[in-house]
Amino acid sequence: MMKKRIVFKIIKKIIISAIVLGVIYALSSQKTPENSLQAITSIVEGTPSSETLAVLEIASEMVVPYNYLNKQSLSSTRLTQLSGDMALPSQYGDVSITWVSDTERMTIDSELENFSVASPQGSVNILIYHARILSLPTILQGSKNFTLTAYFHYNDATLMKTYEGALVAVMPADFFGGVLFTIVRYSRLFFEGMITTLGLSLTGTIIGFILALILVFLRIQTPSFHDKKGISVLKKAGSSFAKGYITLFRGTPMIVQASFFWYGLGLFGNALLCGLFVVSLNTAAYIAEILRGSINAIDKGQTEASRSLGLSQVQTMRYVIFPQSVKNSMPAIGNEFVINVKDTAVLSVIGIFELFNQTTKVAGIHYRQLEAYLVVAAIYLVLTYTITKILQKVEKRFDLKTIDLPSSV
Amino acid sequence: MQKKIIEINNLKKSFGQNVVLKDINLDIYQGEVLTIIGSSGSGKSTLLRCMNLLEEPDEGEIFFENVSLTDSSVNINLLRTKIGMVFQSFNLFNHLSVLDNCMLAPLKVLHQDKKAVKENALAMLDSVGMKAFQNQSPLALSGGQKQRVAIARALAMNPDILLFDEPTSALDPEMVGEVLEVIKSLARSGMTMVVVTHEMEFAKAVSSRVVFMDDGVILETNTPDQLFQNPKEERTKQFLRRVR
Repeated sequence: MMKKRIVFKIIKKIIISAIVLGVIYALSSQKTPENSLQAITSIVEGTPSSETLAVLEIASEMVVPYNYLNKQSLSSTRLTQLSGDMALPSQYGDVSITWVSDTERMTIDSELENFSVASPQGSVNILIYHARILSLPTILQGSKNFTLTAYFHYNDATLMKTYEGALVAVMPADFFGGVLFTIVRYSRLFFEGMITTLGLSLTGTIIGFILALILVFLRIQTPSFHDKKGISVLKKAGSSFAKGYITLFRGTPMIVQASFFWYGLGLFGNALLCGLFVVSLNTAAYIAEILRGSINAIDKGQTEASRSLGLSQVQTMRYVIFPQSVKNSMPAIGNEFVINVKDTAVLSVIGIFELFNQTTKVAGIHYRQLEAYLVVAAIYLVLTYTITKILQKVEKRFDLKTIDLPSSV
Repeated sequence: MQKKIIEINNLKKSFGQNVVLKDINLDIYQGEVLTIIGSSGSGKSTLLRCMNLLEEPDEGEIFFENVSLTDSSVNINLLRTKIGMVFQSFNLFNHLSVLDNCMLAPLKVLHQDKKAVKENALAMLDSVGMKAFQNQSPLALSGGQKQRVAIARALAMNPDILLFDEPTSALDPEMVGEVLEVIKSLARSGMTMVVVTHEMEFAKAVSSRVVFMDDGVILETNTPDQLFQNPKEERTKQFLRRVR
């Protein structure tokens, strides 16, 4: 008895804290994982006049490194994904520029090269220093940070501008290398997606379960002989509402529900919270049907015994029928959680960065869908398999399966 | 004249086309043990279940201690606390321990003090010889033990009358005795009881009056001696010959 009560208390606490955490998590805004790096400028030599200073500042803003191969200009933030040679301009008007990098993985030629870049006036030839990448980090190293410093010289004054960058491994062209690269390079993205997916589905299942208890209670109301007129009207209304709700949510795809609430109604102003809302409502409909099935499966002698002792219909539900049917339907409710882990993938449609959406992002970066989707399939499989195993352990521990449906004979 | 506990007037009940009770009139007095016998399908159980309104009668009136059960304005839950019932299939609450089975209704319906409820429940379990099993799950009990707990559960409400619906029909033969013993000792203590049974020896031994039902009507009511020795109706004779 005592043990049971303690276990119950612990379960209650876990459920409550899971809900609280889930809501807090949903409310906290989604952070973009790549924080943009700002280039820093400062004067290192001379005491320039305001005119000189203006020239230097304009130069430092206008000059950008170029991708050596496809001649795209690189902004300071794009240096964080660097895996190819850079073309570094040597001149901007009368301002001459020299470059220094702090990494041994890159050398900057001392000789100038001709380099043509696109401009509004057409292709323009400029003189650049060729920054050669000597070695990229391996797949396992992932990325290596470096700083690139540009010195702008004009009228005896020098302005220094520091870019922070990172050299990253290139995705290997072969399949296995690609898979390995995807896992290592984007493990953080996958992990964040996984946490969102798990948080959404667990919280959604728990809230859905609580809603389902209310729903199924309404659903099974039938007016009886002793009810007053108002009560029996209320019972009928409640039952019809629950019936309608269940039909509606089980009869429409979750992707449509999500789009309807997010794009259609614009609920919550926070996609994650709206997603949680949709999962909860959807799960509630399914669990309500599970509960109804297990309530129907309970011997009607249980109700008769309870009523014969003077318990009201509500008390009979609360103290006799619900505890038994909830216990009996725990395996099916656990299964509903596993289903949610997979089904929350459709919430990517409203822009929640759960596991599937993160994968789409990864696939888009390198345009290598096979590797990305294979990796995410494996993650989903591991997740659902692990959860199923854990639930089976819990079922065994709490003796859920061995309890027969109460056929009292 | 003894006090009437239950008065049934012109009771009629049918399930769809099937008429189960046809115009039943029956009074049950305080302190008596009334057994209802008859073949299967004669309406015995339905009559018993009408007495606490587990079945709603189609026509007629049922009074419990002069209050009409069939009046829809009456609080049926309150009346049921005074009418205990023991079922053929025990219907113990399997998610609760033996003791909690006996404590649920006194706590939740009568709102009695928890300590007093526990004391009373333990006393009732003791009286049926099940006190040692108080912390067990009903699932771990034998049929006879379950039925004794079910009797203790009904007694814990301190009812004015106990209804037994074939209390030994679902039991192995060797367990029938222990349950009948408990019912007999209840009879000796003066509890008013209505027992639907197929145990003729038991009916003979324990009842103060026996009712023979056939095809939805009460054919014969008499003391056990008279009814079993000198049945008036041909149908009663037939039935008694067959069950012997």
